[in-house]
Amino acid sequence: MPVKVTVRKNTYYDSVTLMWLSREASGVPGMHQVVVVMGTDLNRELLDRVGLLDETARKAGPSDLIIALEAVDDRAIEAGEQAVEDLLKRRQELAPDAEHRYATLRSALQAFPEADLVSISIPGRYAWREAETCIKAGKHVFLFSDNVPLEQEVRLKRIAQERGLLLMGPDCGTAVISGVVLGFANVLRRGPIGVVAASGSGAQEVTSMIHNMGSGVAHVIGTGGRDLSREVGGLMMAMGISALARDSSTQVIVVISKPPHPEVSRGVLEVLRNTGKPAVVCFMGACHRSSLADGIWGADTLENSARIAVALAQNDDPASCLGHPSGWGRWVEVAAREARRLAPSQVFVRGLYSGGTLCDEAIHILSRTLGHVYSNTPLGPGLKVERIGAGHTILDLGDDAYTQGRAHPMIDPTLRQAMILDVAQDPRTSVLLLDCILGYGSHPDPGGSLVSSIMKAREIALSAGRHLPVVVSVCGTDLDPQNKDEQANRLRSAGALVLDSNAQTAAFAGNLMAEVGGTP
Amino acid sequence: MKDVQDLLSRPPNVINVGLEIFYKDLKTQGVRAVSVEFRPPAGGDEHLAAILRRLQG
Repeated sequence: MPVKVTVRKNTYYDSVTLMWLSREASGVPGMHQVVVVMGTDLNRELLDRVGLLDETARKAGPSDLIIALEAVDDRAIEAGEQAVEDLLKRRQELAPDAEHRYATLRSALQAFPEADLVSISIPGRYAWREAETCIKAGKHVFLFSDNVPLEQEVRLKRIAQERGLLLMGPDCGTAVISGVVLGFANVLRRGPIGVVAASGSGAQEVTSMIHNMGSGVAHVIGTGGRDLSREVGGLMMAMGISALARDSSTQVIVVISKPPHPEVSRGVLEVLRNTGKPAVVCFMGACHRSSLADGIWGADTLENSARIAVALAQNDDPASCLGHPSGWGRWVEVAAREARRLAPSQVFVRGLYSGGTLCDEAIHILSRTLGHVYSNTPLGPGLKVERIGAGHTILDLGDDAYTQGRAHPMIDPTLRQAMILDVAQDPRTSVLLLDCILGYGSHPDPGGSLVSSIMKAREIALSAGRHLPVVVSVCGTDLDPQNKDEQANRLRSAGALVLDSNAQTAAFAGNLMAEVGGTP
Repeated sequence: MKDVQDLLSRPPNVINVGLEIFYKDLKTQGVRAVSVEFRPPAGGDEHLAAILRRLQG
Protein backbone atom coordinates (compact mmCIF):
# COMPACT_ATOMS: atom_id res chain seq x y z
CA MET A 1 0.00 0.00 0.00
CA PRO A 2 1.46 3.38 -0.93
CA VAL A 3 2.79 5.56 1.89
CA LYS A 4 3.59 9.27 1.75
CA VAL A 5 5.38 11.16 4.50
CA THR A 6 5.88 14.92 4.45
CA VAL A 7 7.70 17.02 7.03
CA ARG A 8 7.01 20.72 7.58
CA LYS A 9 9.80 22.31 9.53
CA ASN A 10 9.00 24.71 12.40
CA THR A 11 5.27 24.16 12.09
CA TYR A 12 3.73 23.58 15.49
CA TYR A 13 0.23 22.50 16.43
CA ASP A 14 -0.93 21.30 19.83
CA SER A 15 -1.66 17.63 20.45
CA VAL A 16 -5.46 17.96 20.69
CA THR A 17 -5.59 19.80 17.33
CA LEU A 18 -3.42 17.13 15.71
CA MET A 19 -5.47 14.25 17.06
CA TRP A 20 -8.64 15.88 15.78
CA LEU A 21 -6.99 16.41 12.42
CA SER A 22 -5.72 12.82 12.14
CA ARG A 23 -9.15 11.50 13.02
CA GLU A 24 -10.99 13.71 10.52
CA ALA A 25 -8.54 12.95 7.70
CA SER A 26 -8.73 9.19 8.32
CA GLY A 27 -12.36 9.40 7.16
CA VAL A 28 -11.22 10.04 3.57
CA PRO A 29 -12.22 7.06 1.36
CA GLY A 30 -9.34 4.69 0.70
CA MET A 31 -7.35 6.01 3.67
CA HIS A 32 -5.72 3.21 5.66
CA GLN A 33 -3.73 5.25 8.16
CA VAL A 34 -3.30 8.96 8.84
CA VAL A 35 -0.85 10.10 11.49
CA VAL A 36 -0.19 13.83 11.86
CA VAL A 37 2.14 14.53 14.78
CA MET A 38 5.01 16.68 15.97
CA GLY A 39 8.43 15.06 15.52
CA THR A 40 9.10 14.19 19.17
CA ASP A 41 11.02 10.99 20.03
CA LEU A 42 7.82 9.35 21.28
CA ASN A 43 5.92 10.21 18.10
CA ARG A 44 8.71 8.99 15.85
CA GLU A 45 8.64 5.68 17.75
CA LEU A 46 4.88 5.54 17.24
CA LEU A 47 5.32 6.10 13.49
CA ASP A 48 7.99 3.41 13.38
CA ARG A 49 5.67 0.92 15.10
CA VAL A 50 3.00 1.44 12.44
CA GLY A 51 5.45 1.36 9.55
CA LEU A 52 5.26 5.04 8.67
CA LEU A 53 8.72 6.21 9.69
CA ASP A 54 10.87 7.03 6.63
CA GLU A 55 14.17 8.91 6.33
CA THR A 56 12.62 12.41 6.26
CA ALA A 57 10.46 11.67 9.32
CA ARG A 58 13.44 10.15 11.13
CA LYS A 59 15.25 13.49 10.85
CA ALA A 60 12.27 15.58 12.04
CA GLY A 61 12.49 17.36 15.38
CA PRO A 62 9.96 18.32 18.08
CA SER A 63 8.97 21.56 16.34
CA ASP A 64 8.56 19.94 12.93
CA LEU A 65 5.19 18.62 11.76
CA ILE A 66 5.11 15.08 10.28
CA ILE A 67 2.21 14.19 7.98
CA ALA A 68 2.17 10.44 7.33
CA LEU A 69 -0.43 8.84 5.05
CA GLU A 70 -1.02 5.26 3.98
CA ALA A 71 -3.85 4.55 1.52
CA VAL A 72 -5.11 2.01 -1.04
CA ASP A 73 -3.73 3.93 -4.01
CA ASP A 74 -2.03 7.20 -5.03
CA ARG A 75 -5.33 8.91 -5.73
CA ALA A 76 -6.47 8.27 -2.16
CA ILE A 77 -3.12 9.59 -0.91
CA GLU A 78 -3.70 12.81 -2.84
CA ALA A 79 -7.21 13.11 -1.44
CA GLY A 80 -5.77 12.59 2.05
CA GLU A 81 -3.17 15.30 1.52
CA GLN A 82 -5.86 17.68 0.34
CA ALA A 83 -8.02 16.85 3.36
CA VAL A 84 -5.12 17.62 5.73
CA GLU A 85 -4.52 20.95 3.91
CA ASP A 86 -8.18 21.91 4.21
CA LEU A 87 -8.30 20.98 7.88
CA LEU A 88 -5.14 22.96 8.65
CA LYS A 89 -6.62 25.96 6.84
CA ARG A 90 -9.89 25.63 8.76
CA ARG A 91 -7.88 25.49 11.95
CA GLN A 92 -5.98 28.66 11.02
CA GLU A 93 -9.23 30.54 10.53
CA LEU A 94 -10.19 29.75 14.12
CA ALA A 95 -6.86 31.02 15.48
CA PRO A 96 -6.88 34.07 17.72
CA ASP A 97 -6.52 37.40 15.92
CA ALA A 98 -3.05 38.88 15.87
CA GLU A 99 -3.49 41.45 18.61
CA HIS A 100 -4.36 38.74 21.15
CA ARG A 101 -1.72 36.28 20.08
CA TYR A 102 1.77 36.21 21.54
CA ALA A 103 4.80 34.16 20.65
CA THR A 104 6.13 33.85 24.19
CA LEU A 105 4.79 33.85 27.71
CA ARG A 106 7.11 36.70 28.66
CA SER A 107 5.77 38.98 25.94
CA ALA A 108 2.21 38.16 26.96
CA LEU A 109 2.96 38.92 30.62
CA GLN A 110 4.49 42.25 29.60
CA ALA A 111 1.68 43.24 27.24
CA PHE A 112 -1.15 42.11 29.56
CA PRO A 113 -0.20 43.10 33.12
CA GLU A 114 -3.87 42.95 34.17
CA ALA A 115 -3.73 39.15 33.77
CA ASP A 116 -4.64 37.42 37.02
CA LEU A 117 -4.08 33.85 36.02
CA VAL A 118 -2.22 31.81 33.43
CA SER A 119 -3.71 28.59 32.07
CA ILE A 120 -0.99 26.16 30.99
CA SER A 121 -1.70 23.09 28.85
CA ILE A 122 1.59 22.13 27.19
CA PRO A 123 3.74 19.00 27.58
CA GLY A 124 4.77 18.49 31.20
CA ARG A 125 8.50 18.69 30.66
CA TYR A 126 8.12 22.29 29.44
CA ALA A 127 5.10 23.17 31.56
CA TRP A 128 6.72 23.47 34.95
CA ARG A 129 9.23 26.06 33.77
CA GLU A 130 6.44 28.18 32.32
CA ALA A 131 4.52 27.79 35.59
CA GLU A 132 7.58 28.97 37.49
CA THR A 133 7.85 32.06 35.29
CA CYS A 134 4.20 32.84 36.02
CA ILE A 135 4.51 32.41 39.79
CA LYS A 136 7.59 34.62 39.90
CA ALA A 137 5.67 37.19 37.88
CA GLY A 138 2.95 37.17 40.55
CA LYS A 139 0.29 35.24 38.63
CA HIS A 140 -1.93 32.39 39.72
CA VAL A 141 -1.61 29.26 37.60
CA PHE A 142 -4.05 26.67 36.27
CA LEU A 143 -1.71 23.82 35.32
CA PHE A 144 -3.60 21.30 33.21
CA SER A 145 -0.38 19.56 32.08
CA ASP A 146 0.67 16.29 33.63
CA ASN A 147 4.04 14.46 33.63
CA VAL A 148 5.52 17.23 35.75
CA PRO A 149 8.23 15.78 38.02
CA LEU A 150 7.05 15.46 41.63
CA GLU A 151 10.00 17.42 43.01
CA GLN A 152 9.10 20.37 40.75
CA GLU A 153 5.48 20.24 41.93
CA VAL A 154 6.60 20.36 45.57
CA ARG A 155 9.13 23.15 44.93
CA LEU A 156 6.75 25.30 42.89
CA LYS A 157 3.81 24.87 45.27
CA ARG A 158 6.02 26.02 48.15
CA ILE A 159 7.09 29.12 46.21
CA ALA A 160 3.49 29.82 45.20
CA GLN A 161 2.31 29.44 48.79
CA GLU A 162 4.99 31.85 50.04
CA ARG A 163 3.76 34.42 47.53
CA GLY A 164 0.08 33.83 48.28
CA LEU A 165 -0.61 32.41 44.82
CA LEU A 166 -2.63 29.41 43.72
CA LEU A 167 -0.93 26.72 41.66
CA MET A 168 -3.84 24.56 40.53
CA GLY A 169 -2.21 21.35 39.31
CA PRO A 170 -0.23 19.76 37.76
CA ASP A 171 -2.74 17.33 36.31
CA CYS A 172 -5.60 19.66 37.21
CA GLY A 173 -8.41 19.30 34.72
CA THR A 174 -11.14 21.34 36.37
CA ALA A 175 -11.54 24.75 37.97
CA VAL A 176 -14.27 27.37 38.03
CA ILE A 177 -13.20 30.77 39.35
CA SER A 178 -15.90 33.40 39.83
CA GLY A 179 -18.05 31.64 37.26
CA VAL A 180 -15.27 31.27 34.67
CA VAL A 181 -14.62 27.70 33.55
CA LEU A 182 -11.02 26.57 33.22
CA GLY A 183 -10.40 23.22 31.54
CA PHE A 184 -13.14 20.62 31.74
CA ALA A 185 -16.06 21.86 33.80
CA ASN A 186 -19.77 22.38 33.66
CA VAL A 187 -21.63 25.67 33.39
CA LEU A 188 -23.03 26.27 36.85
CA ARG A 189 -25.41 28.64 38.56
CA ARG A 190 -23.49 30.89 41.00
CA GLY A 191 -24.36 30.19 44.60
CA PRO A 192 -23.07 29.67 48.13
CA ILE A 193 -21.17 26.38 47.84
CA GLY A 194 -17.40 26.44 47.35
CA VAL A 195 -15.49 23.35 46.28
CA VAL A 196 -11.82 22.39 46.55
CA ALA A 197 -11.07 19.27 44.55
CA ALA A 198 -8.14 17.02 43.76
CA SER A 199 -10.41 15.32 41.27
CA GLY A 200 -11.84 16.53 37.97
CA SER A 201 -14.79 14.24 37.35
CA GLY A 202 -15.53 14.24 41.08
CA ALA A 203 -15.85 18.03 41.05
CA GLN A 204 -17.97 17.86 37.90
CA GLU A 205 -20.40 15.32 39.36
CA VAL A 206 -20.80 17.14 42.68
CA THR A 207 -21.16 20.63 41.20
CA SER A 208 -23.55 19.50 38.45
CA MET A 209 -25.75 17.90 41.08
CA ILE A 210 -25.63 21.03 43.25
CA HIS A 211 -26.85 23.02 40.25
CA ASN A 212 -29.50 20.44 39.36
CA MET A 213 -30.86 20.59 42.90
CA GLY A 214 -31.44 24.32 42.44
CA SER A 215 -28.47 25.61 44.44
CA GLY A 216 -25.24 27.09 43.09
CA VAL A 217 -21.46 27.18 43.23
CA ALA A 218 -19.20 30.03 44.31
CA HIS A 219 -15.92 28.57 43.05
CA VAL A 220 -14.26 25.27 42.21
CA ILE A 221 -10.58 25.36 43.14
CA GLY A 222 -8.60 22.48 41.63
CA THR A 223 -5.47 21.21 43.30
CA GLY A 224 -4.27 18.52 40.91
CA GLY A 225 -4.28 14.80 41.58
CA ARG A 226 -1.08 14.59 43.63
CA ASP A 227 -1.68 17.48 46.04
CA LEU A 228 -2.77 15.22 48.91
CA SER A 229 0.24 12.90 48.64
CA ARG A 230 2.71 12.75 51.50
CA GLU A 231 5.34 14.68 49.53
CA VAL A 232 3.13 17.61 48.53
CA GLY A 233 1.28 17.53 51.83
CA GLY A 234 -1.98 19.12 50.70
CA LEU A 235 -0.41 22.55 50.22
CA MET A 236 -2.91 23.81 47.66
CA MET A 237 -5.84 22.05 49.32
CA ALA A 238 -5.06 24.03 52.50
CA MET A 239 -4.70 27.29 50.57
CA GLY A 240 -7.93 26.66 48.70
CA ILE A 241 -9.87 25.89 51.87
CA SER A 242 -8.48 29.01 53.61
CA ALA A 243 -9.37 31.15 50.59
CA LEU A 244 -12.95 29.87 50.61
CA ALA A 245 -13.06 30.53 54.36
CA ARG A 246 -12.34 34.20 53.71
CA ASP A 247 -14.50 34.43 50.55
CA SER A 248 -17.75 36.19 51.38
CA SER A 249 -19.70 34.43 48.60
CA THR A 250 -18.88 30.96 50.01
CA GLN A 251 -21.07 29.70 52.84
CA VAL A 252 -20.46 25.95 52.65
CA ILE A 253 -17.17 24.24 51.75
CA VAL A 254 -16.91 20.88 49.99
CA VAL A 255 -13.65 18.92 49.69
CA ILE A 256 -13.33 16.10 47.14
CA SER A 257 -10.43 13.73 46.68
CA LYS A 258 -9.20 10.17 46.84
CA PRO A 259 -8.22 9.35 50.43
CA PRO A 260 -5.16 11.46 51.29
CA HIS A 261 -2.06 10.18 53.01
CA PRO A 262 -3.16 9.88 56.70
CA GLU A 263 -0.94 12.72 57.99
CA VAL A 264 -2.21 14.96 55.20
CA SER A 265 -5.78 13.98 55.99
CA ARG A 266 -5.47 15.22 59.58
CA GLY A 267 -4.04 18.54 58.38
CA VAL A 268 -6.81 19.07 55.84
CA LEU A 269 -9.57 18.34 58.36
CA GLU A 270 -8.02 20.75 60.83
CA VAL A 271 -7.86 23.60 58.31
CA LEU A 272 -11.46 22.81 57.45
CA ARG A 273 -12.58 22.91 61.08
CA ASN A 274 -10.83 26.24 61.59
CA THR A 275 -12.86 27.86 58.82
CA GLY A 276 -15.93 27.92 61.03
CA LYS A 277 -18.07 27.25 57.96
CA PRO A 278 -20.20 24.13 57.46
CA ALA A 279 -18.14 21.60 55.54
CA VAL A 280 -18.48 18.31 53.67
CA VAL A 281 -15.62 15.96 52.87
CA CYS A 282 -15.72 13.20 50.28
CA PHE A 283 -12.53 11.14 50.47
CA MET A 284 -13.75 8.58 47.94
CA GLY A 285 -14.17 5.19 49.57
CA ALA A 286 -13.19 6.34 53.05
CA CYS A 287 -16.65 5.95 54.52
CA HIS A 288 -19.54 3.60 53.85
CA ARG A 289 -22.23 5.91 55.10
CA SER A 290 -22.51 9.67 55.30
CA SER A 291 -22.20 11.01 58.84
CA LEU A 292 -21.24 14.01 60.96
CA ALA A 293 -18.02 13.72 62.94
CA ASP A 294 -16.21 16.52 64.80
CA GLY A 295 -18.30 19.14 63.06
CA ILE A 296 -17.53 17.96 59.52
CA TRP A 297 -19.84 15.89 57.35
CA GLY A 298 -18.20 12.89 55.72
CA ALA A 299 -19.98 11.85 52.51
CA ASP A 300 -19.84 8.32 51.11
CA THR A 301 -20.75 9.28 47.53
CA LEU A 302 -20.40 12.28 45.26
CA GLU A 303 -24.18 12.52 45.08
CA ASN A 304 -24.46 12.62 48.87
CA SER A 305 -21.70 15.26 49.01
CA ALA A 306 -23.95 17.46 46.89
CA ARG A 307 -27.11 16.64 48.86
CA ILE A 308 -25.44 17.41 52.20
CA ALA A 309 -23.89 20.63 50.89
CA VAL A 310 -27.22 21.87 49.52
CA ALA A 311 -28.97 21.03 52.81
CA LEU A 312 -26.31 22.93 54.76
CA ALA A 313 -26.61 25.90 52.42
CA GLN A 314 -30.37 25.95 52.96
CA ASN A 315 -30.05 25.52 56.76
CA ASP A 316 -31.75 22.13 56.57
CA ASP A 317 -30.60 19.08 58.49
CA PRO A 318 -28.56 16.93 56.08
CA ALA A 319 -29.54 13.78 57.96
CA SER A 320 -33.10 14.22 56.75
CA CYS A 321 -32.07 14.20 53.08
CA LEU A 322 -29.81 11.16 53.06
CA GLY A 323 -32.33 8.43 52.40
CA HIS A 324 -32.73 6.81 49.02
CA PRO A 325 -33.23 9.37 46.24
CA SER A 326 -36.82 9.88 45.15
CA GLY A 327 -37.86 7.35 42.54
CA TRP A 328 -35.37 4.76 43.76
CA GLY A 329 -38.11 2.19 44.45
CA ARG A 330 -38.92 2.11 40.75
CA TRP A 331 -35.28 1.49 39.84
CA VAL A 332 -35.14 -1.42 42.29
CA GLU A 333 -38.06 -2.99 40.39
CA VAL A 334 -36.39 -2.29 37.05
CA ALA A 335 -33.19 -3.95 38.25
CA ALA A 336 -35.12 -7.05 39.28
CA ARG A 337 -36.90 -7.16 35.92
CA GLU A 338 -33.63 -6.77 34.01
CA ALA A 339 -32.01 -9.51 36.07
CA ARG A 340 -34.79 -11.96 35.12
CA ARG A 341 -34.00 -11.40 31.43
CA LEU A 342 -30.35 -12.42 31.71
CA ALA A 343 -28.92 -15.69 30.39
CA PRO A 344 -27.13 -18.03 32.82
CA SER A 345 -23.74 -17.10 31.34
CA GLN A 346 -24.16 -13.42 32.21
CA VAL A 347 -22.47 -13.10 35.58
CA PHE A 348 -20.00 -10.21 35.47
CA VAL A 349 -20.46 -6.44 35.70
CA ARG A 350 -18.44 -4.39 33.21
CA GLY A 351 -17.85 -0.63 33.27
CA LEU A 352 -16.11 1.69 30.80
CA TYR A 353 -15.49 5.16 32.25
CA SER A 354 -14.12 8.46 30.97
CA GLY A 355 -14.03 10.08 34.43
CA GLY A 356 -11.44 8.68 36.85
CA THR A 357 -13.26 9.48 40.07
CA LEU A 358 -16.58 8.27 38.67
CA CYS A 359 -14.85 4.98 37.86
CA ASP A 360 -13.39 4.88 41.36
CA GLU A 361 -16.78 5.55 42.94
CA ALA A 362 -18.39 2.71 40.97
CA ILE A 363 -15.61 0.34 42.01
CA HIS A 364 -16.04 1.23 45.70
CA ILE A 365 -19.82 0.87 45.64
CA LEU A 366 -19.77 -2.44 43.78
CA SER A 367 -16.89 -3.94 45.76
CA ARG A 368 -19.06 -3.88 48.85
CA THR A 369 -21.59 -6.29 47.39
CA LEU A 370 -19.70 -8.07 44.61
CA GLY A 371 -16.35 -8.61 46.29
CA HIS A 372 -13.47 -8.50 43.82
CA VAL A 373 -13.70 -5.85 41.13
CA TYR A 374 -10.86 -5.78 38.62
CA SER A 375 -9.63 -2.49 37.12
CA ASN A 376 -6.65 -0.67 35.69
CA THR A 377 -7.11 1.57 38.76
CA PRO A 378 -8.06 -1.11 41.31
CA LEU A 379 -8.57 -0.98 45.05
CA GLY A 380 -5.74 -3.46 45.60
CA PRO A 381 -2.70 -4.77 43.67
CA GLY A 382 -4.09 -8.26 43.09
CA LEU A 383 -6.97 -6.76 41.12
CA LYS A 384 -5.03 -4.86 38.49
CA VAL A 385 -5.81 -5.59 34.84
CA GLU A 386 -5.23 -3.78 31.57
CA ARG A 387 -8.36 -5.01 29.80
CA ILE A 388 -11.63 -6.86 30.29
CA GLY A 389 -10.90 -10.44 31.22
CA ALA A 390 -12.55 -12.70 33.74
CA GLY A 391 -14.49 -11.20 36.61
CA HIS A 392 -16.26 -7.94 37.33
CA THR A 393 -14.18 -5.32 35.54
CA ILE A 394 -14.47 -1.54 35.59
CA LEU A 395 -11.94 0.44 33.55
CA ASP A 396 -10.87 4.09 33.66
CA LEU A 397 -10.16 4.88 30.02
CA GLY A 398 -8.75 8.28 30.95
CA ASP A 399 -5.83 6.62 32.69
CA ASP A 400 -2.37 7.01 31.15
CA ALA A 401 -2.34 3.40 29.95
CA TYR A 402 -5.14 4.20 27.50
CA THR A 403 -4.19 7.73 26.46
CA GLN A 404 -0.76 7.20 24.89
CA GLY A 405 -0.98 8.74 21.45
CA ARG A 406 -4.68 9.44 21.75
CA ALA A 407 -6.83 12.14 23.29
CA HIS A 408 -8.71 11.67 26.59
CA PRO A 409 -11.99 9.71 26.24
CA MET A 410 -13.94 12.81 27.26
CA ILE A 411 -12.78 14.32 23.96
CA ASP A 412 -12.26 11.26 21.74
CA PRO A 413 -14.81 8.44 22.13
CA THR A 414 -13.32 5.99 19.59
CA LEU A 415 -11.55 3.61 21.98
CA ARG A 416 -14.58 3.37 24.27
CA GLN A 417 -16.89 2.82 21.27
CA ALA A 418 -14.77 -0.19 20.25
CA MET A 419 -14.56 -1.57 23.77
CA ILE A 420 -18.34 -1.36 24.23
CA LEU A 421 -18.68 -3.84 21.37
CA ASP A 422 -16.03 -6.14 22.86
CA VAL A 423 -17.90 -6.15 26.15
CA ALA A 424 -21.16 -6.98 24.36
CA GLN A 425 -19.57 -9.93 22.60
CA ASP A 426 -18.45 -11.44 25.91
CA PRO A 427 -21.22 -13.85 27.00
CA ARG A 428 -20.32 -13.26 30.64
CA THR A 429 -21.24 -9.58 30.63
CA SER A 430 -24.40 -9.05 32.70
CA VAL A 431 -24.58 -5.25 32.66
CA LEU A 432 -22.52 -2.42 31.17
CA LEU A 433 -21.95 0.81 33.12
CA LEU A 434 -21.00 4.03 31.35
CA ASP A 435 -20.54 7.69 32.29
CA CYS A 436 -21.40 10.58 29.99
CA ILE A 437 -19.74 13.86 30.96
CA LEU A 438 -20.89 17.18 29.49
CA GLY A 439 -19.50 20.68 29.80
CA TYR A 440 -16.67 22.77 28.41
CA GLY A 441 -13.74 20.74 27.17
CA SER A 442 -15.86 17.67 26.51
CA HIS A 443 -16.82 16.21 23.14
CA PRO A 444 -19.56 18.31 21.51
CA ASP A 445 -21.99 15.35 21.67
CA PRO A 446 -20.84 12.77 24.21
CA GLY A 447 -24.23 11.03 24.43
CA GLY A 448 -24.61 10.93 20.67
CA SER A 449 -21.15 9.41 20.35
CA LEU A 450 -22.29 6.52 22.54
CA VAL A 451 -25.68 5.93 20.91
CA SER A 452 -24.70 3.78 17.94
CA SER A 453 -22.26 1.70 20.02
CA ILE A 454 -24.95 1.08 22.64
CA MET A 455 -27.48 0.04 19.99
CA LYS A 456 -24.96 -2.20 18.24
CA ALA A 457 -23.87 -3.72 21.55
CA ARG A 458 -27.44 -4.65 22.45
CA GLU A 459 -27.98 -6.11 18.97
CA ILE A 460 -24.82 -8.20 19.25
CA ALA A 461 -26.00 -9.57 22.57
CA LEU A 462 -29.53 -10.16 21.30
CA SER A 463 -28.40 -12.07 18.24
CA ALA A 464 -26.53 -14.39 20.60
CA GLY A 465 -29.67 -14.87 22.71
CA ARG A 466 -28.70 -12.42 25.46
CA HIS A 467 -30.30 -9.29 26.88
CA LEU A 468 -27.73 -6.61 27.71
CA PRO A 469 -28.72 -3.82 30.08
CA VAL A 470 -26.69 -0.65 29.54
CA VAL A 471 -26.78 1.82 32.42
CA VAL A 472 -25.62 5.43 32.11
CA SER A 473 -25.66 8.65 34.07
CA VAL A 474 -25.26 12.04 32.41
CA CYS A 475 -23.03 14.43 34.34
CA GLY A 476 -24.02 17.95 33.40
CA THR A 477 -26.42 20.87 33.68
CA ASP A 478 -29.05 22.58 31.56
CA LEU A 479 -26.59 25.43 30.98
CA ASP A 480 -23.90 23.24 29.42
CA PRO A 481 -23.05 23.65 25.71
CA GLN A 482 -24.48 20.16 25.11
CA ASN A 483 -28.18 19.96 25.91
CA LYS A 484 -28.43 17.70 28.97
CA ASP A 485 -32.05 16.64 28.51
CA GLU A 486 -31.51 15.88 24.85
CA GLN A 487 -28.39 13.84 25.66
CA ALA A 488 -30.35 11.78 28.20
CA ASN A 489 -33.28 11.30 25.82
CA ARG A 490 -31.07 10.10 22.99
CA LEU A 491 -29.38 7.61 25.29
CA ARG A 492 -32.81 6.34 26.37
CA SER A 493 -33.89 5.98 22.75
CA ALA A 494 -30.81 3.86 22.16
CA GLY A 495 -32.07 1.52 24.87
CA ALA A 496 -29.90 2.72 27.76
CA LEU A 497 -31.25 3.07 31.29
CA VAL A 498 -30.41 6.62 32.37
CA LEU A 499 -30.13 7.29 36.10
CA ASP A 500 -29.60 10.58 37.89
CA SER A 501 -26.12 10.01 39.31
CA ASN A 502 -23.04 7.85 38.99
CA ALA A 503 -23.63 6.42 42.46
CA GLN A 504 -27.15 5.39 41.45
CA THR A 505 -25.93 3.59 38.32
CA ALA A 506 -23.48 1.57 40.43
CA ALA A 507 -26.11 0.83 43.07
CA PHE A 508 -28.51 -0.24 40.30
CA ALA A 509 -25.92 -2.70 38.97
CA GLY A 510 -25.41 -3.97 42.51
CA ASN A 511 -29.15 -4.56 42.91
CA LEU A 512 -29.33 -6.29 39.55
CA MET A 513 -26.49 -8.65 40.47
CA ALA A 514 -28.06 -9.34 43.87
CA GLU A 515 -31.17 -10.59 42.03
CA VAL A 516 -29.01 -12.74 39.76
CA GLY A 517 -26.93 -14.16 42.58
CA GLY A 518 -29.90 -14.61 44.89
CA THR A 519 -28.14 -12.68 47.68
CA PRO A 520 -30.21 -10.13 49.65
CA MET B 1 0.92 40.85 43.11
CA LYS B 2 -2.60 39.50 43.29
CA ASP B 3 -3.59 37.35 46.22
CA VAL B 4 -6.16 34.58 46.25
CA GLN B 5 -9.00 36.68 47.68
CA ASP B 6 -8.49 39.13 44.83
CA LEU B 7 -8.65 36.24 42.34
CA LEU B 8 -11.95 35.06 43.82
CA SER B 9 -13.52 38.51 43.91
CA ARG B 10 -14.27 38.85 40.18
CA PRO B 11 -13.91 36.99 36.85
CA PRO B 12 -10.19 36.56 36.14
CA ASN B 13 -8.22 37.93 33.19
CA VAL B 14 -6.40 34.98 31.67
CA ILE B 15 -3.28 34.24 29.61
CA ASN B 16 -3.74 30.90 27.83
CA VAL B 17 -0.60 28.93 27.04
CA GLY B 18 -1.19 25.78 25.02
CA LEU B 19 -4.38 24.16 23.80
CA GLU B 20 -6.32 26.40 21.45
CA ILE B 21 -9.60 24.87 22.54
CA PHE B 22 -9.11 26.33 26.03
CA TYR B 23 -8.55 29.81 24.59
CA LYS B 24 -11.65 29.43 22.43
CA ASP B 25 -13.71 28.39 25.48
CA LEU B 26 -12.48 31.45 27.43
CA LYS B 27 -13.54 33.78 24.61
CA THR B 28 -16.93 32.03 24.37
CA GLN B 29 -17.40 32.88 28.05
CA GLY B 30 -16.55 36.54 27.39
CA VAL B 31 -13.32 36.39 29.42
CA ARG B 32 -10.55 38.94 28.82
CA ALA B 33 -7.87 36.62 27.52
CA VAL B 34 -4.83 36.41 25.29
CA SER B 35 -3.19 33.39 23.74
CA VAL B 36 0.44 32.30 23.75
CA GLU B 37 1.33 29.98 20.89
CA PHE B 38 3.68 27.68 22.68
CA ARG B 39 6.75 26.39 20.85
CA PRO B 40 9.28 24.04 22.44
CA PRO B 41 12.18 26.35 23.35
CA ALA B 42 15.16 26.25 20.96
CA GLY B 43 13.19 24.04 18.57
CA GLY B 44 13.21 21.19 21.06
CA ASP B 45 16.98 21.07 21.39
CA GLU B 46 17.46 20.51 25.14
CA HIS B 47 21.11 21.57 25.13
CA LEU B 48 20.41 24.87 23.34
CA ALA B 49 17.38 25.50 25.54
CA ALA B 50 19.54 25.18 28.68
CA ILE B 51 21.97 27.75 27.25
CA LEU B 52 19.09 30.09 26.40
CA ARG B 53 17.77 29.82 29.96
CA ARG B 54 21.14 30.74 31.42
CA LEU B 55 21.32 33.74 29.08
CA GLN B 56 17.85 34.86 30.08
CA GLY B 57 18.79 34.65 33.73
